Formats: sequence, structure tokens, C-alpha cells
Amino acid sequence: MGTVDVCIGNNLIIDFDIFSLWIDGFTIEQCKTEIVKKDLSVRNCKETIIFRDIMDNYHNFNRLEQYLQIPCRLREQLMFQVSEEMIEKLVQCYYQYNPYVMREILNHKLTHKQRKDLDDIADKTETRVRSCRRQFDNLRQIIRILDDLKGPILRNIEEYFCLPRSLAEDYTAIVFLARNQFDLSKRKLSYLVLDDFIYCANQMISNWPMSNSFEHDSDFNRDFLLSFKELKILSEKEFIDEHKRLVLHGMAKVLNNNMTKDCRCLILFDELFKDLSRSLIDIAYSLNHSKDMKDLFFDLFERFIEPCKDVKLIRNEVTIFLDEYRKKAHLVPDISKEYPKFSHTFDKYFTTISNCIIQMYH
Amino acid sequence: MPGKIKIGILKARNLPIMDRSSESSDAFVEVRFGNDNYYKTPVYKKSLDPEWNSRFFFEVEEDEIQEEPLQIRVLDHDTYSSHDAIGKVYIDLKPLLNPNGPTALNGFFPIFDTLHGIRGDIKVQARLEILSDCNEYRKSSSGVQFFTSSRIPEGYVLQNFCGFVEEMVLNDDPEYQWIDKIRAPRASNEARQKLFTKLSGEVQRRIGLKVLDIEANCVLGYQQYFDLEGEFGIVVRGIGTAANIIRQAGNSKSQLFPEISKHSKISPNRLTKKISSESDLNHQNLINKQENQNGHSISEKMEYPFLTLQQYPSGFIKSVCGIVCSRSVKLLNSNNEFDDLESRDKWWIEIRNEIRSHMKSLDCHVVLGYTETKSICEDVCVLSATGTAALFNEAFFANPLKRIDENSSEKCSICHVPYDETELPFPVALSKCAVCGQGQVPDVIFTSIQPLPEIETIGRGSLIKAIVSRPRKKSSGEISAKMISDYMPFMEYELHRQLLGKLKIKGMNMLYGLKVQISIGENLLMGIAEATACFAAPLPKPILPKIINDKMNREFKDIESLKKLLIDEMQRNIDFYGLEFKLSSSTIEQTDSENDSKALLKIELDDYREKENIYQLMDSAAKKNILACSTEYMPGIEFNSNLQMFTSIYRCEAKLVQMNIKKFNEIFDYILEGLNYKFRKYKNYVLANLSTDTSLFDDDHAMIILTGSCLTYGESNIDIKNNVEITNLSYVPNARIERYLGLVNLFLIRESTQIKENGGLSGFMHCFITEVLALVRAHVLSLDGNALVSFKMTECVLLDNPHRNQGQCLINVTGDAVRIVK
Repeated sequence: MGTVDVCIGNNLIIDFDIFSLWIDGFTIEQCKTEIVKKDLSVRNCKETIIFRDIMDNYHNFNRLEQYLQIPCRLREQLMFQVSEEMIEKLVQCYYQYNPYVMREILNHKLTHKQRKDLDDIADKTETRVRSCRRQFDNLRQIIRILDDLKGPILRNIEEYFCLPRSLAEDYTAIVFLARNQFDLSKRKLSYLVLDDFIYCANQMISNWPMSNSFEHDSDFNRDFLLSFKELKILSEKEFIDEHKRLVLHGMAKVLNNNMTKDCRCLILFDELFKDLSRSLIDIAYSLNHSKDMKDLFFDLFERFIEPCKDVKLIRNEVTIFLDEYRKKAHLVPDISKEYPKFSHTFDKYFTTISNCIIQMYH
Repeated sequence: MPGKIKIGILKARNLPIMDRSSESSDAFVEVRFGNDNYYKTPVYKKSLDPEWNSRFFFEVEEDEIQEEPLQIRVLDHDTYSSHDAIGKVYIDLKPLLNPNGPTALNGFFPIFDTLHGIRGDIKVQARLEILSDCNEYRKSSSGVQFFTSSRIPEGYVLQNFCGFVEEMVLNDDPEYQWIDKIRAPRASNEARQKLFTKLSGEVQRRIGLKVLDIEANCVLGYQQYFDLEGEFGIVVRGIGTAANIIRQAGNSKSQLFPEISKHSKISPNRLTKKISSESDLNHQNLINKQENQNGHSISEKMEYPFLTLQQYPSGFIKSVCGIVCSRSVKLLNSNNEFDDLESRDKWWIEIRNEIRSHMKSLDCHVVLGYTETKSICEDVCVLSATGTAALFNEAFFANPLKRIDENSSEKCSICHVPYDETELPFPVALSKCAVCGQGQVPDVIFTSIQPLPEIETIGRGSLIKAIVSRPRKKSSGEISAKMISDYMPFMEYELHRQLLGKLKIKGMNMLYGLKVQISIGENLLMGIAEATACFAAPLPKPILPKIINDKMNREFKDIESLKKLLIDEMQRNIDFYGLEFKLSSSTIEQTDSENDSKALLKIELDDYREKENIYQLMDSAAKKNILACSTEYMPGIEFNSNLQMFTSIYRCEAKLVQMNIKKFNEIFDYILEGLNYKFRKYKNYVLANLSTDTSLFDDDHAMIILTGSCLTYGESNIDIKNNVEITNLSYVPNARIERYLGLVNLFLIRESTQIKENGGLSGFMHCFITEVLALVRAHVLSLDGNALVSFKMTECVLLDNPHRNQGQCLINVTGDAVRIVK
């Protein structure tokens, strides 16, 4: 091996096998072992030659990284001659994340301190620290850029990071979770995977009005959250009994139609109804406090999912309950007289929340 | 002629963060041209994408444009301390002087800082307005177009060759001036970049004047060299071929070159040179019936009938004879009565005269593919000149219509020897031409030009490389020079012996594009020859090298097995390259008496080392199956797309004294193998136009730079979407050059004091070359071009100091910016 041993071309030559290994934080030596393992055709080649080729690629990647961090610059930079397809492929690979790692990253605030503590995450998820750091930095970079931009998160991500639709959607949810600082780190929530949260976040993003600019540390429209206060009416004494009656009645009908013989759940819901209903309404009521908003997932778990699980209700039963709960709320007599926009607000709130609960109920 | 440059400094993007606290920069731009013109834009506060939209103009002289680059300097404004430099851009405005070239220059240029590399881009526009004025004694030579491509530019017709032109300037190297001891590295590097750019402009301007004097309108095959003589200064040399060319009528509307000759007058002192040149020439052998027609004879008119082109229009060459070469060893600090420049001029004149006399002794009257190179080590330098002696068709220029049928009649005649069988200039075995059976042909022909389509070849070509290295004692001055010059003929002989041996074993008989490079190190001398070998139909089939065993003490069996080895190797090569002939018994078993003279190559087995030599003549296992050539075209293969141009740099640290031929061969094989590995995904490819540049430093490291193009053949067109194609070929496969936009000539220095942090020297070089290519592309784009042909890295010097974690590299690249249509 020479002290200088490089080969440079006019067009950027990228070996995507090597690129993905680089992304995963392999050192040159590890990368070589991996390539030799993977590609049978290179077995006959001298190791130094494979090593040198990997080095050339790594040199390019290290220079390329500054542009990958701001992908829209990649199109206008003059340093490398890269085709449009190549750009898309590179960016997509670079922003690919490992759901387990990302789940861990979201457990904490994205601070400088956490960046140094990524070793724990790396150990836990069996990923390389460099890979964790890249995923962490990517997320932080996206959030940093988005903080200065107005408009829907998804559109901004697509525009500034040149990501394909599905990946951009996932990042939209992840960014949403991270910057509204939802607390996902509680031990009781540890059974939930990243996809659960992405689903819930997307439910909120698509159903609840957003403010379109990131102010007061929240993406939500404040007036909208305040309107949830009015839902308190449902847990008032005069309505709750009627609501309970309607829901249980409805459930019995559905279960009957489904030819379900087991009516244990009706008894259970009869017992739990008041607590559960109050919890759901309390959660809605307190969403305008940012601290309560952060604890949303934990509250849903502790105040709804856990009680149900304790009595061994299955997911299907919970689904039927939530569905009936939502439908019958409109039928509670005189409720719209008290609060004319009740139906609208309640639906907005409850469709999203019930979808989240169902997703989380496993 | 006075003129006006209208300049627009529009905006920049992606600037580096100069102010940490605000994470932005307060950028402004200084523009300089020559000594008097200066402009400064306002400061654009707190932005990494500033927009100035400043437009202004400079009033300039035409000769200033030829020498001075437009200097753009981007700075970060600082209220309390001095402004911080972000980077610089040098823009050569010469292309705008060309009447057929682009009228304006417009585009993003990477902002280059010698310590930090590329830091963002700046959008610049420039337009030139020249006020017409015809001054008889002008200093400027604008309008003379320069082409680095060593061929007639595509879309042009050659009218005549007017002569060999050369120019040389000498200056102190700023790196070695006393002020450099107190100057910051950035200032020093920038001073060098500026000076070198300016000097190369000056050389071009002066060559331009010579061209106008001999009533030509362009310089073809322009070669530029920077001789870094260290404390003795820097010499910038340019050589080229003055010619008249016109745009082909078929191509859009025929744009004739302006008749420059009208307003140029020959000053008296230049006339004298012409007269003297005539007395220099006396070609009796050239008396040819066409000779007197129109007085077009090149050799009559030119002092030195040397042409730097490597490709000629068909019908021009009448006969190629062989390589002529001359070398001389000189001491740089000789205190003689001449001044430095004059003495260097004398050296080159000596060498050229020698080449001319070699040419004459071969009964030739022109030297094709001519180059001049210089290798320097401390105060000793070796000057070399090489070319291919040949005869050209006198009728070529006289009767353009006859050109075509001229060459169709006897294609093989190019190979026929120009001299008489009875008066051989040197011992050579002649035989009857295998195609026509009439003319006499030698058994091998070596040339320095590109493959001639007129000569029919069989099978495919192959790269041939010969290396000679020899340790020398550490010494300096006179003794060192003498030692080198004593060894020179042996080296030459050994190189040719190797070339010949390898050629025969390949089963081939002709070399194209032969290039010999001599490198001198502190305690090592090295010569590398490379060429493309092929089997030319008119020449006789090669015969097997003969193994002679002078001492009878060797086992007969031993010799037989060696012989068998050679036969096997030759047979394998014949099959592999598709040479379509069989090793007949006569070629193997020659009778001693008859063929002894013909078998130019004998291998004499004296000791064990000779046996090793035989193995050396064969390609190593690694090199087999890699198709490669040192020329732009590969005999027997038609390329269909240009995959990639590559630059491979290898530096090895080793005690150079211990480096022998075998080790160097291993390194080259390793580099080739590496390339083969890189392109393994493609099935049919050739590594074409390979060219190695070897430099030895001190006594402990050598740097080898291999450039080439990876071309595919016989595959469906691989469409590579490029903004700018850069190639070291003079053409782009499967594309037509529509327009030549001017010479791109960049001189760059990069320095770093954080070598280890950025991937070592490898990382440093990788980054720098990438940046150089990026700069080249930007310059091409700004001229509205989409390709650069004849790319050449004429200089690449890497110096480092591992203890201080420091490295410095200096690169000069040239090429022709063009617009191509696919």
C-alpha cells in the first residue's frame, strides 16, 4: 500500500453496496470483510485492491456528506457530477433509519448531551454508534431546518430533503413527535414500537388542524385545543348515565349481530364505564396544557388501556366499545342544546383518539 | 487595441460560515484585472447566499487580456480586524478574444481557497468589447486560436502547416523568494498561482505573435510545460504547430477566419531569423516532382519541420520511418556568459538540431508527433525531444481534390521505407511488403503518433510497457550530470530491447503512441516507455526471439523448456489478440545463418538474471485479459461510449535504491488491477489512452500518476448523463464536436495542515483532484460548453511534511473546451 493510493473519475462512481455499509457505520476494514463475504466474484481479487476501492468510495462519501445533510444543495453543488437518479438514491439511503434506533432516540430530548450518549442506544439496538449518530443528526437537521419554515411539514420535507413520499411521511410523523416532545420514554410505553407512534402521529396530523408554523413549542392550533374544554359536558352527571345506557345497549346489539355468545365484556364495561369515560374526557380537557399534551400517550395507556387490559378485554371488544361510545355520544338527549358544536368537536377528538387507542392496544 | 470588459458579480451560494456566533457571513467581492483595475462590491450582511448584482466595467488593453486573468476574491467583512479571505476565482478571458469563440462568459464558479478548497460558488458574467484598431506594431496576438488537441479540430479543414512554434519565459518562483520566509502560506500560494497563470498567458501571447508572422491563423497540438527548477526559477514553455485551418463549408455557414495577416507586419528583426533558417536546410533527397508546386513544401519553409500533432488527415502522410529522439543532460546553475533564458534557449536549439539531423539521416523530411520534455532533479536536468520521422505527400495541399484517391490506391505504402535498399542509414532487415509485394518494409516500426487508419491491422492492439531503473550514487553538480549522461544510452538501449522483446512475444510488429519518460531521483534513474502494439498487415510476421547460449555449460533441457515457454506465450497472445496467423515451424526453428541478421532480438543466456529477463518480457498474470492501450484509438476495436475518465495516483514510500524493475512492474500491475476491479461491472471495456507520469522525490518515495479513459465497445450504448464530459481523448466517442470554445488552462495549489484529520495524504489528494475536475467543469460550462477534450494534467507535484501534518500539491491542467452533440 502506498501513502497515496487513489483513483478519481469525472463522474462520481458509487458502489451502493459500499455506500450502505458506510451508512451503517462500518469501518473500511469491516466493510472489506463484509464485501468479500457478500460478493463471490471478488474473492479472487487481492484484498489490497478491494480495500483501495472501498477507500476511494469512503473518500467520496466523506466529502459528499456535507451535501447530504442539506440535500437540496446536492442538486446545485459543482463538486461532484451526479445524476438526478443517483441523487435520489443517495438521499434515500442516507435518510433511511432503523425503527428501533429511532424509537430510542425519540425517548429523549434531542440535545447535544444525548448525542454523546448514543452509545447506550447503540448497545441496546445492536447498531453501530456511527449509524446511530447519523440517524440522530439527520433528525436534528430536519427539525432545525423545519423550525425556520412555514407551511405543512410534509411539503417542506419533500422539498428540502428530496425524500420519496413514504419516507417523507414517516419523517413528518417523527418530527412531529420529537418537536412536540411527546414523552415516549415511560417504561409502561416500552412495548410500543415506532410504527405505533408514527400511526398515531399521522392520525393527529391529518385530523387535527395544525398551526403551520412552529410556535410556542407546538404544532397544534391553540384555539382548536381549547375547544376540547367544552367536551367536559359529557362527563357531567346528567349526561353520563344516559350515555352509558346507550353505549351498553348498542354494544349488546352489535355483539348479538356478531353471534358472540360471550357477554363478559358487557359486564366489565358496565363496571368500568364511568372511569373510562371520565378519563377520555379528562384527557381531551387537558390537552391545551403542553405538559399534558406531552403525556398523551402515557395517559391513554394508564387511564384507558391499562384498566382494560387488567380485566383482559380483547382488542376487538375495545374497538366495539370505542365505536359505540363515539356514535352514541351524539344521541345523548339535549347535549347539543348545552353546547351547539358538540358533535363536531367530539368527532374531531374522538375519531383520532380511538384510532390511536386501537393501534396501541396490543 | 483598447477594449472594455463588462463584468457582473451577481450572487454566491453555499458560502462557508465565517462568523460562528451568527452562523453566517458578511461577504463582499473584490475584482482585479491587471494593475490598475479594481472594483469592490458592497458587503452583503448575514447570509450564506448573498446577492450583490453588481455590474461594472474595466477598460483594458488587448494584450492585457491575453496575459492577465480576471481575479475575483471573496472576503468576509470584519469591522474590527482585517477581513477574512473566503476564496478566489481566476478567470481566463482569452476565449472571448477568439472571433469564433463565445462572446460572453456566464456561470457559477467554485470559490477556491488554497487552504480550504472549494467553499461555495459565485455567479459571474463577463463580456468583452474590443474597439477595432489596426496598429502595425502590436503587442497582442488575439485571434490566433490555440488547440491542445493534437489533431485537426473537428469541423475544420487544414489548409497548410506553417511551422513549428515555441516560446519560453523564465521567472523567479515566488516559493523560493526571500519574502516567502515571512509570507503566510495563503499569500505565497496565491502569488504563485497568479504568476504561473500570467506566465502561461505571456507564452501564448508571444507564440501568437510568431504565428501571425508566419501567416498562420492557429496553433494546433499546443503543449505547455512548467519546469519547476526550484531556486533557479520557473520556466514556462510552449510548443505547437502553426497552421491555417478553415471551418468546413458543410457545417452551418462557413465561417472563415479573419485574415489576420493583413494587419500584421514583420518587424525587421524577425526577418533575419527567417533567412537564417533557409540556410539551415538542405534536403537534396526531397527533390520530388511535386515539390515546386505552389511552394507549399513544409520542409522548405520551416526552420524545424516538426509537427506536434499526433493525428493527420488521411493522405497527408506518405511514409513513416521510425522514432527519432535526442536527449541531453544539463546543469542548471552553470555560470556561463549567457543569461539564464538564453542558455536554456540554446539547449533546446541544440536538441532540435540534433533531431533534425537524425530525421535527415533517415531520408525523411518531417517529424510527426513531436514532443519536448524536461526532467529535473536539483540542479541537473535531462532535456528530451522525440518524434516520428516521416515523409509527407507534397501533393496534399496542392490538390485537395486528389487527396482521396491518393490514399486509396496503396494503403500499405506508408510502411514502405523511404530510403534505398543499398544505402541503409543503419543496419536493418528489409523484406517485401506483405500486402503489395512491391515495396520494402522493415520488420518493425515504432511511432509516436496515433494509429493510422490507412495501415491495415489484424486483430486487436495491446499496451506495451518497458521499465528501466538503475540506482545511482548520490552526488551533485558536474559529477551527477556526467553519471546520468553516461548511463543515458544504456537506458535507451535497454528500453528498446524490452519493447522489442515484448512486441515479438505479443506476436506484433508495430508500435503507436510511443512515449518515453525519464525520471531522475536523488539516487535512482528511471525510464518508462509505453506504447500501443499491434499487428500491421504490411509488415512481416514476427519471429520468436532467439535464445543463445554462449556458455555451453547450461543444461540443454533448461533452454528447451524456456523456448517452450516462449512459444506457448506467443501462441496464447496470438489467440487472445486475434492475430490470425500460426506459429509456423519456420518462425520457430530458424536456421542460424540466414535469420541471424533478421532476428533483431536475441536473448543471451549468461547467468541466472537473464532467465529472469525472459519472464519479464511476458505480461504478468494480472495484466493478461485487461484490454488497454496508450493511444486514443485501439487497433481492431471500435469504441461506442466513454464511461469514465480516471486519474489514479499512487505514491510509495520505499528506499528508492532498492526499487528494481520488478517492483515497479508490480506497482503498475497493481494499479491496472485496481482499475479492472473498479470497472468489473462492465463486460466490454478498454482502458484507453493510458499515460503514466512518474516522479521520484528525494530518496524515499516515488509518485505514479496514471490517467486514461475507460471506453466500452460492442455494448448497447450506455448513456451517461453528464453535465460536462471530461476526457483525455481528443474526441468524444459517438458524439460530434460542434464548436471549439477555447483553451482551459488552470493552475492550482492546495495546501493543508490537517492531513491526518482528513483521511491522510490519500484523502487530501482525492479531494484536490475532485476539486480540480469541478473547477474545470465550471469553466467549461461558463463558456457554454458541455465537454472538455484532450484533458491533460501537465504538472502534479505533491510535497509533504508528515511531522508537521502538512501537505502541498500543485496541479496544472489543460484542455479544449468544446460543445458536443450526441
